[in-house]
Amino acid sequence: MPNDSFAENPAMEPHAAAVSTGAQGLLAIARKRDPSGALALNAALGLSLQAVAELPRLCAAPGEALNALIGEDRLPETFFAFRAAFANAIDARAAQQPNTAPALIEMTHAVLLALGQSLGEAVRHPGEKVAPLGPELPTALRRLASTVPVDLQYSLVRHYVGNILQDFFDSCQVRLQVPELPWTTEQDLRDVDARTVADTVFRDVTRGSAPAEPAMLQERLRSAIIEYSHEQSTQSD
Amino acid sequence: MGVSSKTPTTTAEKASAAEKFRQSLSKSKKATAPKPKGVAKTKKKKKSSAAAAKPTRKRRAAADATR
Repeated sequence: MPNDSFAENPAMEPHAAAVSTGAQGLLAIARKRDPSGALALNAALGLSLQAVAELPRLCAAPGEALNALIGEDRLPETFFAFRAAFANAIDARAAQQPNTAPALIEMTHAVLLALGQSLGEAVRHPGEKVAPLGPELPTALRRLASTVPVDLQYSLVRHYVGNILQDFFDSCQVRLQVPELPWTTEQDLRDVDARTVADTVFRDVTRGSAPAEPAMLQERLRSAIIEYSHEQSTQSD
Repeated sequence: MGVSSKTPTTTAEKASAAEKFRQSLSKSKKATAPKPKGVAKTKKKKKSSAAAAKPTRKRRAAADATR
């Protein structure tokens, strides 16, 4: 797993970085469109947080339980197909949840993409050439088995928030309207802003601890989105 | 990594987002701009040795007066 602030700090320090004014603006727009709080509390995110928490244990001894997690009778041929099956299984389960409040934001796409990004990141070794389909499946499963469940949860939240920010950045045509923005702006939404939000969510979660409760993480994410979008509305007043 | 946009936004939201990023940009420009040090004095150009040796009108007048 690449260095991240969460992985580097066994006991999370309170986040020192700040979310940029631009990212706060995007979160404020997202929040305005999402009065029910589904952005943080959606079923796909909850199911994914639960699934990645179980993944290392199941990958250590692949069998029926792992097949059931990805909704297949047997393991696919490639890691790419494994990730696709995993995302499909989460999507199908989320669609069956009765309490999913409608929101004017495409969230499931951002969650499933984050799931793939997190797993891809977890199995990648530093300096290793990136293969389009990922490493061989047995290698990928072995690497996933050695990951820390709460690290996968952190990575999932960070990528999810990054995807939401990127989605609104693109949809609002910010780059088109403000072409003089630094070329690092889009990457900073992920590397700085989304990371800061994830750090806030995991602020006192210990890395080596048991997986965090998905409902608790989602509630914290909701609070973090409110906090940062509130900062934005306070600054605009 | 780029993500294709899935969420349609309104004109007002687009304008609001652009404005916040302009604010971010001006903040970062202010943070990186060098501190003003007042009006910079223009350094008088030192005459080259050839120019210094060239007789000026004053020098010529002084030389004439001594004759």
